[in-house]
Amino acid sequence: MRNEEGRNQNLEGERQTRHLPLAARKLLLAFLIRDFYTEISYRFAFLVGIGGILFRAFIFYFLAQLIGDSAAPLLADYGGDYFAFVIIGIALGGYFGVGLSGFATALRQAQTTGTLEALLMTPVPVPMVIVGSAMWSYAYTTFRVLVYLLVGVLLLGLNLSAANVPAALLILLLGIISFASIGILAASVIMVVKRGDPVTALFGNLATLVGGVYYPIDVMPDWLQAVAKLLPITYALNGMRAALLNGASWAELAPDLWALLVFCLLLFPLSLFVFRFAVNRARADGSLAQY
Amino acid sequence: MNAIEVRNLTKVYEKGGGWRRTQGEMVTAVSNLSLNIPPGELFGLLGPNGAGKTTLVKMLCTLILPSGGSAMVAGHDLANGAAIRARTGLVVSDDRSFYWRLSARRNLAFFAAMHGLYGRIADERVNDVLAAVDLADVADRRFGKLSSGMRQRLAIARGLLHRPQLLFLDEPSRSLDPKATQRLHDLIRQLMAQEEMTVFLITHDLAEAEALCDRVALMHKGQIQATGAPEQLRRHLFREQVYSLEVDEVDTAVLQTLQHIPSFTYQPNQIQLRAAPGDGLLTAVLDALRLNDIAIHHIASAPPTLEEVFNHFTNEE
Repeated sequence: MRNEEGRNQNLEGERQTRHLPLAARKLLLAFLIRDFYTEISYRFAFLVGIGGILFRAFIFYFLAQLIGDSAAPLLADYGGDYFAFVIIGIALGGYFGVGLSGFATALRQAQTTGTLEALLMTPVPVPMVIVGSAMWSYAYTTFRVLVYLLVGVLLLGLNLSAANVPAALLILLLGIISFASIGILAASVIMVVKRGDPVTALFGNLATLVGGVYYPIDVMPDWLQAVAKLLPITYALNGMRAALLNGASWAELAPDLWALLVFCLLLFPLSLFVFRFAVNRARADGSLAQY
Repeated sequence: MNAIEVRNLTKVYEKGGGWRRTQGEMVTAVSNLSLNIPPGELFGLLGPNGAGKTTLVKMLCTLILPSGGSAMVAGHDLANGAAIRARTGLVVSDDRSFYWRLSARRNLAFFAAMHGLYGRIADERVNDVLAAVDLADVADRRFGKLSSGMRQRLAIARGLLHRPQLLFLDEPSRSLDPKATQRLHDLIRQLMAQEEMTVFLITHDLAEAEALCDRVALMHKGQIQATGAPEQLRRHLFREQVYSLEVDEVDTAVLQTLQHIPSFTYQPNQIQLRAAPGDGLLTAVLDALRLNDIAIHHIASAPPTLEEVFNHFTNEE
């Protein structure tokens, strides 16, 4: 058969795709390349976005100058510097935002642009399609965080010399998994109802209000602090600031790390279960690629 | 082993959708459908809008879960979606299934990766399929800047990337002009020979089905009404032939004697009727003409068109 060799190659591809650890990196890279070239095809918007990152870093620096030492007592646990406090809040808040809305947005975009059906006709499992589609947002957020930190350290006096980098990376990993779990729940809602996902709205607004992105949670009334303690971003931000700004030890970071681990263990399996349910519901309804 | 074996496949939708559903309101899109398609066949599925064609194909592509019955596609049960999708391709006429800001080549490279083809193997395959659909010259042009015909050919190229055993073509010539349609038909025939695959064509263009397909099935209200080669279907289902007679002028009195023939029509010097062997209708007309000394200059007969067969089954005559 003329095509036998080629089909064997193809089936090798299927085996690789089925054994995700072997192929995941290449698959995710393919999504990244797709979205990178799409992004740079809008050159002006791409450059404006890069410029916006620098602008925001300077805006918060001058805001910190305005606030000066007046907030120092409230920021004592974080070295007393508002700029250092808020720049880490914005950086990690970016990951929270992507985790929360990235999957649902990627799914919704693929549904509305019409590419989802073509993707679902490949052997790549649906969860991988959704994760891959959100990869660019994570990569761009990482780039943004690095620029914030670099601008902060090189130009605006951010001091990370004492940082406990391994602990910060572990907090980042656990934070991303727990944020993404909430995001996968949001994508599950989008998969079935197509629009009007309440998960993103609820968690997004709550996190901005009480998560401690722009101010320490100590400034809020007790009942709002209690709400804050139900969100993973609170522990991620607290731990990240302690690790990067104070160089906190593993023992000091243990409460935040344990809390994040519990969020991961509860939310991640739950989100996968709900997502599988939503995909099966959409396949039964015949609405997988509809919007 | 058949390329497709369908046994009593059924799809019933519950009205409503979303998290909440309306109890009791059901719509049957595909009803107890059975079908076999041998490998290497170009099979056409014909039917009006709402007949259930797309639902059937999406079930066979594992995009929709069936409510009942079973099917083997490319040797795999519908439950084994990844294996089926690795061996089948779906070509839709929807422009939106591509990334408009990316070139034809980058689009194909991305979908090749989705099928587990990377690096040099992917590059070679992308070049091969671009050449096969005659798009090598515009490979680096953005998808959004391609013509409708080029986009359709690129959709076929994408369907071929992973060398499928079975290719589903969902109304591939929709929105194409006649020249582009002809070119597409030539391409499908050529690819059938080159790629050694089975093609399942969904269309409501009867001329397209007749021009391309080895065998067609007529689908209506979720069921296959008839299956066969287009020619065989016409002859088998319609023993009647359409007769056209060129004659001298026929006067009114003679015409009145022929009024009992339901399909009889007369325009100056031209008689047309439908008649089957043994029904005596053609004999009655010939006898009437001979008795009245009306000369017959030419007689031609033809089977009914596929469109007439189609209309017969869909009661749209």
